[in-house]
Amino acid sequence: MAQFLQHLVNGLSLGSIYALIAVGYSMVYGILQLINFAHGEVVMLGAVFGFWLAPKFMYPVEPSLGLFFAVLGASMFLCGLLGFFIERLAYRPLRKSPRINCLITAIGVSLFLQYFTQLEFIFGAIPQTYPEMISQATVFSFAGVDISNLQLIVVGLSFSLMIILQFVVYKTKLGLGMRAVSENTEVAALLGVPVNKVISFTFILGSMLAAAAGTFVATMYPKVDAMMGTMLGMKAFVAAVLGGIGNLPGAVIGGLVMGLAEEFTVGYLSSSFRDAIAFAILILVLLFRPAGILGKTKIEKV
Amino acid sequence: MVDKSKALLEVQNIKVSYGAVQALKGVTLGVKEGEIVTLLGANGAGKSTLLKAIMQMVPLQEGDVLYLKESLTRTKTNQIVKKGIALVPEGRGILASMTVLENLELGAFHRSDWRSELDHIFELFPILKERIKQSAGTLSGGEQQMLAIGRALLSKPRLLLLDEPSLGLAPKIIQNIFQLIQRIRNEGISILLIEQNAHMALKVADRCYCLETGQVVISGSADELAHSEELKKAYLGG
Repeated sequence: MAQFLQHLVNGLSLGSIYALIAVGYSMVYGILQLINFAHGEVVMLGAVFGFWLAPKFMYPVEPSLGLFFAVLGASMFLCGLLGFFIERLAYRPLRKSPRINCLITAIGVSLFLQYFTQLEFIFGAIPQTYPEMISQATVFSFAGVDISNLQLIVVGLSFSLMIILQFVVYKTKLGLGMRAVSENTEVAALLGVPVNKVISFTFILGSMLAAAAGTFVATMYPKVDAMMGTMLGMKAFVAAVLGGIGNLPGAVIGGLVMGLAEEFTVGYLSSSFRDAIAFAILILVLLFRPAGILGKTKIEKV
Repeated sequence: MVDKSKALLEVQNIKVSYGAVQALKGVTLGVKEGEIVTLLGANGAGKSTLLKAIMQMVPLQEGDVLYLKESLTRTKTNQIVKKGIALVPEGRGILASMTVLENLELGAFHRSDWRSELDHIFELFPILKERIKQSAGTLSGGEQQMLAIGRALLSKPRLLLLDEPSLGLAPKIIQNIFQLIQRIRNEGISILLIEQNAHMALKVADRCYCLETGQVVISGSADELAHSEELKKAYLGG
């Protein structure tokens, strides 16, 4: 039982990170019907920015919550900018081209960011240790279940960020514009919604959440590496599909399910299935419920 | 208050193509302040394309669109809405998953002082007030059309473009919509109306243009054209 609960706790903290990334995929898909394959690379760069900045803010890096928040904020800001420029430079010129062109471009952007980061004078191909900004400690122990301060911080912040996002999307004017563009871009423009601004804003928002996810991953498993975004991005993408792509609450549920599935697979089957389970889930979803958990099957009205 | 001689909208010799198909082959027409102008024509004549071209939703190959003497060809659709032209698109363009209120709020997207006008919209369309919290997709066709028009009015237009507002509606509701169109004009908003229902359109309109395969073939005052043999043959069933 204790073991089960421990896996549950670990799974939820991993899942909340997947959820943060999945929400970014879902938002961009909702608005542009584009699967932004470069999203995983934004997560990776979120960790890389933290790796660069932490020593700049404080050298030598001493564990402190203030430093962690400063690094998190700076990394989110930089990734927001990055997301803005990715859309502006790579996707916007292709807005009116066939969707396949955008998809190929997304893969191109993803590869570009991976290999650009691997350049020796940028970051390099060798994985580095992420600076320890919060010293890990068990803060809560109950019936053999340990919850660390890291897990509390990661889960707490992830959910806070997602609640803020929910607020932005459903309670603000820009959110109203986002939902209008995602339902019908042409009509949104006809109502005076500045479509380009809304799309830029969506990329900035998604990339900021990705930066937070990158910072959380690097804090929990203190390693930064130029290829780390690939698998994280893929799994979060599966989470978004599982929840129903384009649907924000769906992405959160999908992320949590993915985290739990992965953790339980590692715990009860074998850790070599860690990555396989994600894709097994993808195949099952596509076979039996292609619209995802919360997705609606679209009925085209004539 | 309304100066009937003042040109609000001037469409000058515009040409639009979809690939190899030329949808508009040089159309010139105008709407003056306070007028209802109707645009008649069969399916595929280019009526909807003309409205889209005015809103810069399709690229012009040639020609110009002037609004208050100012060219719109380099203006984005959402900016044109700000300047005072609103289009109620064919099929109404209701955002079905959002509530009636959210749809109305979107109509006033560029404005902050719109709430005070909601009452006026509800006075024009009382049914919308009852449905305010409902998702717009649950409305009937007539209600959706009213929502689409009400939403467009909240952008505070001087010129309203209506693309077949009577499409798919029951005769009684169509009458209702046409009464509203006249009422909106009496409030000082000029209207460019696309219709298949030529009888009704000619009754409310001041002037009329007939479009055939991308060209204006007949134009004149609505009274004149209502009695024109040529038009009768083509649109009024002989």
